[in-house]
Amino acid sequence: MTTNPTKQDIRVRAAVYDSAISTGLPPKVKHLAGVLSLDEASVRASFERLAAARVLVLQKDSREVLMANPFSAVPTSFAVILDGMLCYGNCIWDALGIPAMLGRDALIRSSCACCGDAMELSVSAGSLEPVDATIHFAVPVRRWWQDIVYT
Amino acid sequence: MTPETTWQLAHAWYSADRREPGWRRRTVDETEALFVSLGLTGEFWSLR
Repeated sequence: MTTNPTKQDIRVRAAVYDSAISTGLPPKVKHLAGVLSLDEASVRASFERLAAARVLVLQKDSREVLMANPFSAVPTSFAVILDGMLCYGNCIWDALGIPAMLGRDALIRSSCACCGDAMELSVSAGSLEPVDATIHFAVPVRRWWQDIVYT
Repeated sequence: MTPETTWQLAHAWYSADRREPGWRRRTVDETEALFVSLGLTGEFWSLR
């Protein structure tokens, strides 16, 4: 967690977020290699260091980005719609984190974990519109990174 | 947790620009201080 990032890692991190912010999805290795004029092995090495530092979460087998929090690279139960752009949060905290990070209005479409009913949250002009709901966190904080995908 | 508290937590957590070269993850102390500022206390919210 305390490893200092290399200059390349800082460039890769910035490019990951540039892409996620503009497209709604974290980028793939091949795309980043082209954008940064790096070979794919170098991008993958940065991904691994950033994952070790808990800046990114990687997919188990492909080692592509799974999470560039708050963005998810795969569809989840937390859809975030901004001006027609669809993206996904990793959890409800991250789903709210997307409009918070971008400073944009958003509609979050999810479902109740208890009954499955549709649940919508709306962020407008920097505020969350009032909604009658309870947000549930299942895992104590100190255990979040034991299995961040489950968390 | 209320949706409003979750929004405040998300806003505080993600408002820093992660594209900035100087961005870094919060320390344990900083994270716990943020939780406390939002009333998130007790064993569940402890990082230690």
